[in-house]
Amino acid sequence: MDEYLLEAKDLSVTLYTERGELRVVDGVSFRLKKRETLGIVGESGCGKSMTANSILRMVPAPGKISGGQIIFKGRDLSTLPERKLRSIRGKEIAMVFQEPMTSLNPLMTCGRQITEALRAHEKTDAKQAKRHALELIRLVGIPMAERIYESTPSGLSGGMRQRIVIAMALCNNPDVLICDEPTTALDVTVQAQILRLIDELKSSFGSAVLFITHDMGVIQQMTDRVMVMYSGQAVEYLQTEELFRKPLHPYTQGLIACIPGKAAVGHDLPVIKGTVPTLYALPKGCLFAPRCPYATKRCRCERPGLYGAGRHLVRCFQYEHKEASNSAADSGS
Amino acid sequence: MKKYLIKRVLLAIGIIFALSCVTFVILNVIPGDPVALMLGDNADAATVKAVRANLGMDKPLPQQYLSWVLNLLTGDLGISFFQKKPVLTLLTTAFQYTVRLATISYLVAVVLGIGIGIFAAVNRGKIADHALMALAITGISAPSFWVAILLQIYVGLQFKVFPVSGLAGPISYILPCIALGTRYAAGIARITRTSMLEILNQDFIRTAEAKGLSPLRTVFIHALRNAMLPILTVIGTNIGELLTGSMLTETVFNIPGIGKLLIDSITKRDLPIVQGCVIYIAVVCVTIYLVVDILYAVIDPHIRLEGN
Repeated sequence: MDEYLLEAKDLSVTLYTERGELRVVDGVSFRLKKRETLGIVGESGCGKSMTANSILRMVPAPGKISGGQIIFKGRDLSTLPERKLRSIRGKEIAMVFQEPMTSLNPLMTCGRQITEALRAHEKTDAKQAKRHALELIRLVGIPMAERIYESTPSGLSGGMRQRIVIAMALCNNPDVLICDEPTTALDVTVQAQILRLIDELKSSFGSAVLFITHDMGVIQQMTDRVMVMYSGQAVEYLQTEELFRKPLHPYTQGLIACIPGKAAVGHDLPVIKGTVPTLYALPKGCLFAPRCPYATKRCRCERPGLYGAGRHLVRCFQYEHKEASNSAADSGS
Repeated sequence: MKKYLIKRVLLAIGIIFALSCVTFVILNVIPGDPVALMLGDNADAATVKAVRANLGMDKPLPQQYLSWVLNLLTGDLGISFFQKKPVLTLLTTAFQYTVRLATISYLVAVVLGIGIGIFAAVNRGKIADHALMALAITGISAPSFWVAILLQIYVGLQFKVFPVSGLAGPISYILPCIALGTRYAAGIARITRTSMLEILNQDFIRTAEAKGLSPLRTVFIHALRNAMLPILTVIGTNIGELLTGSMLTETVFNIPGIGKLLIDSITKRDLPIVQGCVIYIAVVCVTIYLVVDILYAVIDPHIRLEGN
């Protein structure tokens, strides 16, 4: 059996708002192996960032983890005492965020922000920490490391800042790196550079990566396996290559069809009709049924479970009775 | 920048001059004759006239004003009617007490205010936050003399540790400093809470948490430093108010500072001291606002342009 580094079991996150309780993450499970990259993909508001934040228990108020477990190296992070959890944050599991322009302290030098992350977990003297930080700044491809080390982030571009954030995340050699849309706020050329950088560093550092994005192109480039989320639920788990070859869930199929370049030139881009249901009024049946072209009567009144076997799981009634053939295909491949 | 500076300094001098003029006129117009107060009801007309001539009060008002201003320019604020001492000496002595009171109370206010503000911000929406902010509103609204009297009654008289009135060693500063400090503490607490809440919601605070830093380090090193600017503005503008002496607190606790000197002189119609105090207060206020304005202009170029 494979050994799993990080495992979420039936994870739920609820926002306790004045208008009621909102389940933004609803029973999501996934496993991450050593050195593997798992992608989480879905539209805005589908709960992918909440899932990412919940791993280190950093769900912003009024949200809380309302169920499930997060097993990391045999410990359940969802119930671990705060102090112990802190020794994991930034050390064994590190995060890279979406907004490089605002995710660095504007009044602190870049160097200090990195050495601070280093010294929060390891007792090193200032000199050694500085040497290590300079090494990291060079490693993430920033020229004139000495100068950047001494300067505050204010003069730096988004791409440069994201490199600093990445240097900071990698400084303690984490086992897991959580990237929450790290390139969404950057322009396309910088995006490609940052993706290449993460790709290079993850193999040299040997970290497993949880990669959250809404960009199918990024998923294809970066990930080994994918979890597709819709309205707080995981609707499909599959290998990245299968995602583009043989997506099963109607929602995933819709996402793939929407990638520009797949549609014939001269035709309109296909879209998934309708909008994500509001969490205040979720449909009674399958959450995707109101937008699904194949929806049946049953889909509208019953919630489907996850069907399939092995690596490919789909939350759709169409595949309810195909488990046997699927597992056969899975073991054959 | 130079032009702006010159303009501001000239304006400041103009304000002080105008203030001196207005106070001089008002003090000489309001009822209550210092000579009558000095000599009592039974003085005969000749003595009154002699004293008036001696004090230079028999001359026409504009001439009196002119000689007062000319003396002022040489640093001579006149002689007190009743204490027979130079006003400048009296002011300097009173100033020392006011500064001592102001410094200690303000230190209390800053430490308490920032501490409470941070605590409330970190515990936003919880009972502690609501309770502290209710307390802050009370602190801002409560007149300081009322707080002073309450402290005298419930702390001073009951425990007999702190002197209720007068100055007898460092311990006698404690109650006045609490009375004066709480008000400023309340104001600082509110601005600190607001500023901290804004900063605590920013992305870089989440980054700091994700690094595994302790909440204390996140709050003090990352959040507080960024939240400091609006807090410093409030702290700066309060200093002028404090240095001019708190008339009420000083009077209630019988501390011989500027505020007490001014109140006593007004009741006795000791005009040279009143005029001296008003000029002193005007100079302190105008100078501090000038400094603050210049600092703003240094920080924000837009203000500099408007000045031009």
